[in-house]
Amino acid sequence: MNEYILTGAVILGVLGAGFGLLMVYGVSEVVYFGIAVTAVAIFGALAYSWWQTKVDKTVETLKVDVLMKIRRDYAETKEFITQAGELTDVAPILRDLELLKEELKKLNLFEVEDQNTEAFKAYTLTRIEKENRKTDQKLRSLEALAAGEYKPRLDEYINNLRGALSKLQAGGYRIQGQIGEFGEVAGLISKSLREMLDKKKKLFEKSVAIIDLCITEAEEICTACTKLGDVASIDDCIPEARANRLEPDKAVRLLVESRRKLTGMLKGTFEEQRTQLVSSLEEVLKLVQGEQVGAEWRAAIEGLLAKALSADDPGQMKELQGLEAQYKSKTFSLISELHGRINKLEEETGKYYDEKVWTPDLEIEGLVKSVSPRDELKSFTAKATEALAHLTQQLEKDAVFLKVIQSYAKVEPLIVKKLEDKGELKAAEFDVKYPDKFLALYSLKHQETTFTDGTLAMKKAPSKEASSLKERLLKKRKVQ
Amino acid sequence: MEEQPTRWSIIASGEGANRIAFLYYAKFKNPAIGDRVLLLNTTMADMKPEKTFEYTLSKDPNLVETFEKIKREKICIFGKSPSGAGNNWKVGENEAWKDFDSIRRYITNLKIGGRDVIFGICTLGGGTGNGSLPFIIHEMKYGRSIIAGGENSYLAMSIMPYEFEAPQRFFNAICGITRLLKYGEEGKQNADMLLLVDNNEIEKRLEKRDEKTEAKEERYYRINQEIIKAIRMMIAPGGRKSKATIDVSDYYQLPSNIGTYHFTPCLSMGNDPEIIGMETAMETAVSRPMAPIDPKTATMAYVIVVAPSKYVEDGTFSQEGLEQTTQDWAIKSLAGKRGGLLRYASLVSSEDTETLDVMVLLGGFSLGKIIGMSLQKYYDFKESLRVEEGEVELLDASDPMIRVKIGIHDLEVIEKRMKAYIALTEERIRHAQKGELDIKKKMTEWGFGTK
Repeated sequence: MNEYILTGAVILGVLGAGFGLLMVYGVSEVVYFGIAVTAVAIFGALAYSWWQTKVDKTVETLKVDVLMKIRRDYAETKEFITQAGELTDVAPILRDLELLKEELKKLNLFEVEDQNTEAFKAYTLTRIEKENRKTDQKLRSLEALAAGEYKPRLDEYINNLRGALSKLQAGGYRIQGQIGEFGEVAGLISKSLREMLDKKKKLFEKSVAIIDLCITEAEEICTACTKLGDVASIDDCIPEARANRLEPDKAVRLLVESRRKLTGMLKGTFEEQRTQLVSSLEEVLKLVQGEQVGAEWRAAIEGLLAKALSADDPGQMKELQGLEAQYKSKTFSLISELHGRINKLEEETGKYYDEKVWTPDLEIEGLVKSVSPRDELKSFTAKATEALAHLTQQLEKDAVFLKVIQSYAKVEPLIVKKLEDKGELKAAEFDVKYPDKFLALYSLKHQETTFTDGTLAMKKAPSKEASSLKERLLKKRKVQ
Repeated sequence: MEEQPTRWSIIASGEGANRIAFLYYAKFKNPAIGDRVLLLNTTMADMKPEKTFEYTLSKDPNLVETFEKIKREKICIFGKSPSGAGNNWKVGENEAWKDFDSIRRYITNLKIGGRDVIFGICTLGGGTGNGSLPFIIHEMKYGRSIIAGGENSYLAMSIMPYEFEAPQRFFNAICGITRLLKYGEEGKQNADMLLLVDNNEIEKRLEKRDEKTEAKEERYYRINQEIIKAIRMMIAPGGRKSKATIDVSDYYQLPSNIGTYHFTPCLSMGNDPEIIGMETAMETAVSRPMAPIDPKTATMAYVIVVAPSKYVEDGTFSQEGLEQTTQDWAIKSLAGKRGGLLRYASLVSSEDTETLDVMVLLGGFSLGKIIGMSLQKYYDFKESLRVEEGEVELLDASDPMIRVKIGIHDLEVIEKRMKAYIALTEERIRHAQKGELDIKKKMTEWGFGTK
């Protein structure tokens, strides 16, 4: 309608302009004007026709797009509802869906070929979009129906899975973290059918992953048991569990059974090794309490002990063996470090090798060399603890003596003065720590003194008579 | 209200004292002192880095910045003499007297409060410090200028010359000691406390090095470092961290009452607290006093112990333990058999140290050795002076421009005062060494046991 009004207005306008030109310029100018208007009209009509055709073509394309969308939406909804059928009865809903399809077919709004029909072409875009909205609404409501049926079944499914995983955990498998993750996904809110289906898929994948973990764990335990006896009867449970990994109930049953048998086989050995390891760690811990050893080493040994004490399942055999290796490695490193420190200290203290002043521990070298992490646990511990006992004791002694040496220069003048004053000095009366060490050191440096029974004193000078006799005897010997 | 720590100011006069004060100020930031340091000299020539501070600055180039700051703000060149005081204490004193206004202005800038401690430092062999410091202290205590008055305390540390130095320097030393002890027309007490330190004694304490290869500047530098340790230990106690409430006035009030107030520091630093006990540390300190003295003539002892806080907290060292130890030690080590006349002990718990550091300030000891080593040279010099009309002219052999006259009477007064002080000191020592009272008799006198 608007097009006609517009055309009419244009015609009147052109005529009016022509008349105006006629009045002003005369006929000749009007002729030129007339030719120009005619040309514009012709080209204008051509352009309009082309544009109109194009618009018509776009509308057709859109109509077909909507038709395809109806088809897709239908197929999708059918797919989801069919999937829901794994857990619940969706036959009635599928029937309704089929009815909807028939209705659409009747309207030539379903098959691909319908786009070529006259009926379809006769539809306006608006009409087709309206049908699309109606269809969409119906599909949504069918989905919602299916979701309503599906939810309780899904909850039951999740609980079953949870139960299966709990059985695995109760059976001794270490899957605490994974069960937590499972729980997080299970706790996610899902309202629509699509969300519920996605949740089910994820939970299934998680449970399969957990089962795979348990299979791996069972295989490791089986390997540990191989040295101890015939595992053939248990061995085939594991491959069977692997073959049925997608069937949680079956796989869980097999895995729980195999673990029970395997850990039963391992129990005695595990207990024995654990006891031995704990005892070894406790022995070493007693020896590293001294200040000289250092808090980090103590903490490291305590950490290993705590882990060993908390290992209470024969299924943790591999971990226990790992702990044993760590214990040996740490203890060996500790021995090496202490030995190194002693060697360094003794570069200084070794200058004062004297029975009363300072002595090295000559056994240390041999003891340290005898320790080897390749030895079996009991033998390793015996040698290591003996070495550690000597090392820690000597380290303490050396560190103390080094302090004495470092303070000696300050203290020596005092010793000299006290000796001059009293002729002797008792260790008990000397206000320093390790007074006997200081006095023994002084005596070592000053040969004119002796340190005996805790007292430093000047050596008695020989009497005149004794010196004279000695001289005569020496002369006599020369003559002879 | 939070107790404020005692504020200290350092006034160092003369080249040698300037070196010590600068080194202390540059290396140790002490909140008790802050920026209150003043270096005095009579000639700018002495203040040039290449002359006075070259070696110190070469040891630690980081100190250059501090030196530039000190040079701008903390150095007072006083007097009109173009060549300084030379080796004449009288010139130093005269220059300080003539140009006291300049000195006073700088002292005012120290913003000394009413109860501060002024710690003066001078060497005794030269002219500037030895001459001016006694005068300055006297003016600050008894004068009428704006800087006089208040209840400030005046401690003076003076450093004896080396034994190889010329006789004039020992002449200066004896005059300087006397004037630091007594000054003015009335011969009033000058410094509240005089600390005597001898370079020769300090050098004995140092770790032995090859004398042929060690430069003398390095030796002097190490000696100054030892002196600074004593200054640090003096300033350490009395603050918030001290276990006992020893305050600076505790240092000098009673000695002033007794009439003998000369001391010398004895240090024992860097002791391993796990090895060395307090008594041993004290004995070690006293075995190496910083002046030539016989410790058994000392009648007073101030014991300052700085211990790592963990050993104080765990009870290894305690104020009570220190006082008991000090008593036992004093009975064995000080004059007499009852532990001398005066004793204080203070334990400082410190988180900044891992070692046990002890300073014993021995006081009231016989000055026999100190005067004895100086007396020959004192008379060698004095008797070489030409007396004309009751005056002697003191010349500086290195600079004939420097000359000053001093009355024979003034010298006689100096000697008289020194002798009187010595006599009092010896008398106090004898008193401490006296046998015990007849207690029964005394008790009766006091009214006990009468029938």
